Amino acid sequence: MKLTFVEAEGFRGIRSKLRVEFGCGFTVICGRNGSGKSSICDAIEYVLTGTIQKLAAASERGEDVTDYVWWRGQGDVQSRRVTIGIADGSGNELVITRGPAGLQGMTEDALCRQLCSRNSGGSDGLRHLCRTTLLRDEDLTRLSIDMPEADRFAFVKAAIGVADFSHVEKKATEIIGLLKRTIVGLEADYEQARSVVTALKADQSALNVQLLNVEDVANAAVIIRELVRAPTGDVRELLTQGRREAAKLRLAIEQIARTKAIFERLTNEYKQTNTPDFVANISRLRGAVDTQRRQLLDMEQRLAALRATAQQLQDQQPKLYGLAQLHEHGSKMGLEEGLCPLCGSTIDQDAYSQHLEELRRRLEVASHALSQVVTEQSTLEEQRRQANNQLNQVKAELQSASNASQNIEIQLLQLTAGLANLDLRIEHGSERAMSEIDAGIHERQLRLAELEKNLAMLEASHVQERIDELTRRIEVAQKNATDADAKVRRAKTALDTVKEAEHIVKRVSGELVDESLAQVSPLLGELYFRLRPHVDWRQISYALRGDVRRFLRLTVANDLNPRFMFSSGQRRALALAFLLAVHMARNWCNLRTLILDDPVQHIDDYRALHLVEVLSGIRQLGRQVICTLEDPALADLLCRRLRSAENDGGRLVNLKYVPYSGVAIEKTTGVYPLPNLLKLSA
Amino acid sequence: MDILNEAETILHAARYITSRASDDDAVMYFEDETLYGFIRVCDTVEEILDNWEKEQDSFLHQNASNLAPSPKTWNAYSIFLTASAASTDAIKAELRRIEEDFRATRKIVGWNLQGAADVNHCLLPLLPIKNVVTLVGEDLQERLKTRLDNLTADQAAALFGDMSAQSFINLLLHPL
Repeated sequence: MKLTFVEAEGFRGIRSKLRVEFGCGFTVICGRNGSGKSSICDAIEYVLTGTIQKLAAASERGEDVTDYVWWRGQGDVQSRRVTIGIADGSGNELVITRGPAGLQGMTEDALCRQLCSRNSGGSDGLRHLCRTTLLRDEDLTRLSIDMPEADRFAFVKAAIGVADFSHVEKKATEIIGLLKRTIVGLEADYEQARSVVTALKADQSALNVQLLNVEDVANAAVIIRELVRAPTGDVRELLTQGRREAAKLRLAIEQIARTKAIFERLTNEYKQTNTPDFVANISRLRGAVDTQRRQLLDMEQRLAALRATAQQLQDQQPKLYGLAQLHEHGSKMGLEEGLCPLCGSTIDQDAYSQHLEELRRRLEVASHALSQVVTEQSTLEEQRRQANNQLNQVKAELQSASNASQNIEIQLLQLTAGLANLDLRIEHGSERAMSEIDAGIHERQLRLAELEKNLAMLEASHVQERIDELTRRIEVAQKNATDADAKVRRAKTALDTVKEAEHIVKRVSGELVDESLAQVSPLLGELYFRLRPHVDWRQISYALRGDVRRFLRLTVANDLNPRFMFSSGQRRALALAFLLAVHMARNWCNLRTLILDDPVQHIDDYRALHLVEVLSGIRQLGRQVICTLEDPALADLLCRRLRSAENDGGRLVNLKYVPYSGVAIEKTTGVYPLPNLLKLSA
Repeated sequence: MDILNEAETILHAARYITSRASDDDAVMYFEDETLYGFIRVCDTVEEILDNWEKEQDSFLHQNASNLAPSPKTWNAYSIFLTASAASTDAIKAELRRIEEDFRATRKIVGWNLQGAADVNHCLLPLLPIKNVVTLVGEDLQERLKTRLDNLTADQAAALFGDMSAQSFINLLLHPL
């Protein structure tokens, strides 16, 4: 892409419409001071960036460059605008117009995308484009040799555009700034939370002192401390211990009272086991047992005799059965012809009847005897069972009476041990046992009453309420402070992460610039050699230092700083070498135009000639050169040397200033290819 | 090294036409669409000091008939080269002063020329810029992302992307 024209009206020193057509190869703009040469350069810069950088920092009496962009001379202007044309080499022309309201018909981003291939959006990209395209006399040393080394590094980095991480660096810087502000805020939150805690603690401490200084309350606290036997801790802790002690006392009193009832009953029972009646009863029961045993033994013996008799009678039963049958037959049959039917003896009726009667009587006796024995046996067995029951009953009574005393003693010992566990020591057999228990209960009841009274007094205190409230608030405030501290720590960790990332981005950017500078170095060396700022020091070197913040140092000879060694003219020559190297190293810029605004100020003729030859060398690469000059002779030299070709021609534009009308073109001359003068064979 | 041969090669590469002088094998003429001139190779620096002005005038005189009133007439170069060294600083200063004489032609003086590079250095004012760089970009973003190993892939992408600074902070403080 190359510039085709610039057209301005009502801009800077240009009142009426002024259009300068640029040669495709080069254009030399010549004119005296104030003829408008710089206004042409200003117009190009203004169209592209919307400002004029050389004046941007200047302000006076509340005015700055924005007040002098447009025509301020006498007379009106028809319009205010600047326009440039840019050809892309394929017959297409991009026309860009900017007026007081800004770019017309396109955005800065769109323009940047047309002219810059790198991702450096909007005015930033266009600003870099202008800084590396338009080399002004007043900026030559300011943007190179006189620049601080860190700024020089940044300028080269941005200009050659090898590592366009500026948006990442910018974002990291913004994030760091935001995080730092966030941390400041969070630290303030934390400090605020801590100050709340300390303030509340101070209040609580003061209230504790106040609480203890109230006489009744103080006495109550002393009494409670004595009662709970816990001298340490604040009032709140004392209250807790007091309440715990009161609960323990209530439980102990209840347990002792229950124990007392049992103890009382058992003691009475135990006493009864030692009375004469109890002993006589035992003796009686033992006697009864002996008597019952003896009776039982007698009954057993009698029963055995009855059983033997019954057995005998049972043994006689078959015989009696036979006799009964004889009696029955004899009675039925009667005498047979005066003879006994059983034995055939002669017998009379009376004797016979008497015999039968005798037999019947014998049978009745035998039957009666058996019946009587059975009855007696049954009666005796019943008596024996009853006697046995009585024996068991008496034995049980005896056993019961014997065990009672022992059991009561065991239970009393257990109760005594239980009381000892409740811190009440008694001797169960002593006469004083019950009174000791009563005294123990009474002593605890008194202690409990005293404790409860003083606890109630302490709790009833309004100060205590405030202390409790403060305690709750302190807990909340401490939690808030802990949360705030966690947030601060998280934010600081995040800050460290982003700082490290920023460090890495800068480092990698620096590395990429290092590598790019190494590639650009031969070009810088060549341009320096060609421009020859110094007779003896024909080579320039650069050195980089710094890790994250980088510094670019230019040196000649043995590490000498030309900024302090060179004269004004030599420094300008060196500046031109530096800025031309930067210009030619750009790989992101589609515009292949170099604009120099009066580059030979303070440069002697010898070095001006070298510059012309360098520009010629640049022209030989097909780049467009636009140069403003004051000296017509030098302008003439440039027109002769800047290689005009058939399709890459040149122009000489002479400007003049017309009073009250502003800048005008005095003459435009085409510069055409020169014919061969020598008769040389190819 | 034949200085004239080297010079001829260099100028041809820069699209100059050249021609050797028919009567002097130490002289060569050259011309392109803008410049023209001659190169004289001398045996010693003293020879240059003694004869440069005469050689320049002779060249202009010999070609006077061809040098019509054209702007190119003022684009003449007289170049004096030698392999011999200047023995003193005074001689070096005298040689330099020849270059600073703007009368008639632009003079270039080269001495102690030991190789093609030395000849090339002397002829640089006639030649296009040589060390033009083309900075070829690698995948710089990938290179940087690889180095940013203290960030997760999501965080690195967010840092490079359009995510706002505040959103990025939220991502760091409250990772998903």
